[in-house]
Amino acid sequence: MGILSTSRMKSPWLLHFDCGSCNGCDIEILAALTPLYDIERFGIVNMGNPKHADVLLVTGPANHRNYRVLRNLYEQMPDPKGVIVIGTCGCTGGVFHNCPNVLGGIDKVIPVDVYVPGCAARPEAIIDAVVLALGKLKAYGK
Amino acid sequence: MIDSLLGLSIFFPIIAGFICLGIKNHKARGSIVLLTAVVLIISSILYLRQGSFPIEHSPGPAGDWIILVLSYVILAYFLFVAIKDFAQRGISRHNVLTIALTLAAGIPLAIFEFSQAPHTPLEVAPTLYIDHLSVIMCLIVSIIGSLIAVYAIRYMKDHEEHRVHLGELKETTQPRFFFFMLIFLGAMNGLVFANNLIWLAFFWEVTTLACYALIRHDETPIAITNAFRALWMCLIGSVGFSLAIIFLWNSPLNTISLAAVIESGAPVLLLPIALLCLAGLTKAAQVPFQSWLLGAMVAPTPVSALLHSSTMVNAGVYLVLRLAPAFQGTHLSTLIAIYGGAVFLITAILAISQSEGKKVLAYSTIGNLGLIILCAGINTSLAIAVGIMLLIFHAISKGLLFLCAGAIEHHIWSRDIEDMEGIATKLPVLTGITIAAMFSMLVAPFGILITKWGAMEAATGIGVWSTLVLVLLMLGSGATTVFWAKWIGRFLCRSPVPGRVKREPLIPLYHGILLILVGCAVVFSILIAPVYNGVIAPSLTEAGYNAASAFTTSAWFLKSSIGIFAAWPIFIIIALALLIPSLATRAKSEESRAAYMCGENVEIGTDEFVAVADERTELKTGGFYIENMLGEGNLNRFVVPIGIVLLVILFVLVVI
Amino acid sequence: MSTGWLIGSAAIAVIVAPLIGGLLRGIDRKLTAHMQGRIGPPIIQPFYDVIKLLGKKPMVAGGAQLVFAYAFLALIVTAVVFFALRQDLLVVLFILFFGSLCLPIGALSVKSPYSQLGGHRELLQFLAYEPILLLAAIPIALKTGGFPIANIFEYGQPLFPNLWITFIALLIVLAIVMRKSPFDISGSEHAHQELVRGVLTEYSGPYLALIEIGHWYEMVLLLSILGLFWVVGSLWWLSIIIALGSWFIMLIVDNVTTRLTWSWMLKFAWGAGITLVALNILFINLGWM
Repeated sequence: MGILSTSRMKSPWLLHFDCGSCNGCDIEILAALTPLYDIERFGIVNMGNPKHADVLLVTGPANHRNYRVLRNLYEQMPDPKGVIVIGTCGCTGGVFHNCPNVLGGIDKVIPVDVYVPGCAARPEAIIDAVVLALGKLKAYGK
Repeated sequence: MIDSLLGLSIFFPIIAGFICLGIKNHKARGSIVLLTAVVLIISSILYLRQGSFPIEHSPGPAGDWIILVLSYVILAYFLFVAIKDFAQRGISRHNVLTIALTLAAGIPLAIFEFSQAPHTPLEVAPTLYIDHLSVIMCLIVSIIGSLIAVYAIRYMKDHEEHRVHLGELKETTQPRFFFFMLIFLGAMNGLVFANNLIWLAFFWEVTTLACYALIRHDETPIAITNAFRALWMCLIGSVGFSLAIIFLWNSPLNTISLAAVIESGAPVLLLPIALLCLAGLTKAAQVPFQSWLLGAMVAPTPVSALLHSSTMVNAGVYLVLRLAPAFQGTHLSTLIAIYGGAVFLITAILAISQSEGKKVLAYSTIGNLGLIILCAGINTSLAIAVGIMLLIFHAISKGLLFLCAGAIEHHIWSRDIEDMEGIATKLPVLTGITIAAMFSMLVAPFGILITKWGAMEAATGIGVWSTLVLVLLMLGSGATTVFWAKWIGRFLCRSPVPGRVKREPLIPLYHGILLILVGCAVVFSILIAPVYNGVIAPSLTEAGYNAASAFTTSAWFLKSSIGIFAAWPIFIIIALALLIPSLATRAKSEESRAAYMCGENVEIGTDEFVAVADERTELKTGGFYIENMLGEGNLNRFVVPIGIVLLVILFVLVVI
Repeated sequence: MSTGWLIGSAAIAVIVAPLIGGLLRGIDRKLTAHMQGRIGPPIIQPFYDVIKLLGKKPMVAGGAQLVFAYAFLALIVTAVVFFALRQDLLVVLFILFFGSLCLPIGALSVKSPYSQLGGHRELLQFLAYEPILLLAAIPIALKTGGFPIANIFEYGQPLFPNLWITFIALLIVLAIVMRKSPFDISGSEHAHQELVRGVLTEYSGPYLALIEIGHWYEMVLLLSILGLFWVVGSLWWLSIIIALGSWFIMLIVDNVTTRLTWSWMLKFAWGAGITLVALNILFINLGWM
């Protein structure tokens, strides 16, 4: 349906989860939410609640302690949903990829839709990534 | 015909009670109680077909002598138990007050009555006076009271088994229990029909006796203390009766016929009327006497349901409602309205802080009785109509709620609301009935909401003091909503469990009676217009009010001069709004998700989450009780003085 | 007012009220953004949000939630219908309150820490505003001779000149119902969370959409009650001005203040709100207004 997919594209609600990150990428995400970049004009709102969110923004690598939390949060999000991984640590494990407690990138735990490399990733790249994910939400069900 | 009906209503239960006292067999006793229930229900309904009201009946001087002697026998018994308690447990506030008040009630009355010889006992015509208000009360007592007595058959059996199991009980005390319950029912019927004040005082004392004995039933130390507390507070009422009788006989009116007193409406009679109202207020456990009702909650639940919500405390407000035409238009009336509103608000706030279920119900009862007294104080036709409606609907709903609380207690063996968390999955039918009963106390289109609406409309535009009355009413109404909604939430609070909920095994004497009562609550609320036309409007007319200026009904809508309540359209829409979703939608099990615990849930269906050092910890939730601000400990030091001050002002106003 | 006209206006109210409500919510976000130096979403954003939510796969945290989410919407719509049919104002308010109660009871029916806290706070919020709203019906009835809303139209004169004190008290009610600072205590607008999303935490997808639409109806009903104060007479268009003006004042208050505690909210609402309306009733009873 045209209006449903348009609405999905126009109203992505975020859940931001710091999975093990050094907070560098998280600071950049928060910068994207401030009035300087004003992503609310795209209808994007940072909901803290997986049950209300469409897009999961994850930073940091997955490890033996937090993979369960990550999977819980992912399962508590209703479909259609998308996952965006921000920062090199989330994509592949980054500088931590060989550490004994680290499983690797986020895609070892949940399916990922968009990867944003960078250390730290820039706000403009984050916004680009969200737009890419919107395309996937719009195409859900087709 | 009328004397056989009266005999059945008043004497049959008393005789049945004496028979029960002698029967040891549980089933035989149960059948006697069941038979009494059937007799009472049928005879009470037959009153409605007795032709034109009011009907008068006087049994004759033999009856007067019996009543006279028996009233002193009962007072002597109170003295006896107080002295026995004094001997066994030493001096205490309660037995001293009991002795003092029994003497204060008995001695002046004895001196007065026997000094009037050869007119002893005093002649009053008529002795018994039957009008629609008495018939309404008789119906409440007979129908709801009998249902509660039948419920008690099974309840007391379980109760005693539990106590034997705990080692607290040696042999059965049920004969004594049912004896007092049945004579109580007979005495209540006598009370509502009595016109001779000495007869009224006698039946009043019998109900006090039953109240004392039934609270005391379990014979634990706290039960005995609370029984004595109830006894001396109700005895204040008996003192009021004695003084009122003396005043009235020595007044220009020279009569102790209640009907004559009400009709005359002379200002000099305001003092005895105020004394009688005081008797009503103590029986209805209004502030500052509320502690006896709260203490009475230690009794078995059928006692709480029967005496302390639907019948005995109703006797108190019944008396105030009956006396209302006599003080219409006086300052006394305004003060009674403010007093009722204050009680309503205070008890609503105190109820928020209680976590024991029966105490919440007790505070709610006192509050609703305060609301009836508020209506009696406003004293317009609309207000009195609303007061009578509230009498009926509150008796049904509150009796039902106490019975539900009892049934829940017998499943989870606890009275605390916190222990009732989530029992909607374990006991779906029982919880469903209880939640329906709570909604019937709370929301449109049920009767109690109709009465709240009516009380607000009645209180509008009756003068400057109506401002205060309305503020108390609105604040109280908000507070009552909070504690009911919180309790309903506690019932339903559970972790998401996939799959359907299984129905629990049904017990006829529990669930059957509850279903009958909840059916009554629903049906009478929809049929509010025929109920009003059938029994309430005639009682207004008989009391001298103009029924048409209260409500008119058309197409089952209730119309007052300033408002409309469209009973059945609201009912249908609300039923559809709630029933269609609950029946048509069903959560599929794959749709179930765990609650949000920041992702630390262990798995769906359990309450656990992973906490420090990866330990599985159970999630514990609880309700808001705000005890430090709203609790009894904090508020009681204001509440009791406020009550005393208001009552003192009441009497000062009357004397001036 | 003929019955046909009334039923027609009720039908129009049911269809138009959520549209107005959603549009007002969108304009709210736009204006708030401008006050904060941002651009903000388009004004039809709430409709995108609700349609997206309706299209989500349903997810429940307990069967009772479903019933209470539907009941919340159904009962508030019923209140709007009764209001449009010009029924007794107290009855309209009681149906509204029944609907409003379904939200916290539904939240309390899930064993989740945020939901429980949010539900209890929602009940306290209800305790704060319900008495004021009920009490505000009294001066209206005193002036127009009865509680039916039809009486206000028959009264023929605007209510505001005599009842402006009540109107100010109703602004407190509006702020609490709109869940704007300083009263966004039980579960607030998106960017202002305190308890995750408080009373709304466990609702998701289509059920959240139902609640959002219910909130729109609720807001429009409250603004209509405010508009009743000047809906009669030659200056009837002032009713729209005062309703929207109050709404705009709430926006400013929201952006200027911060969230406070529930005990302050209770004390303020009961203290200021009740006193104002009680004074108005007293003055009418004394004949001064």
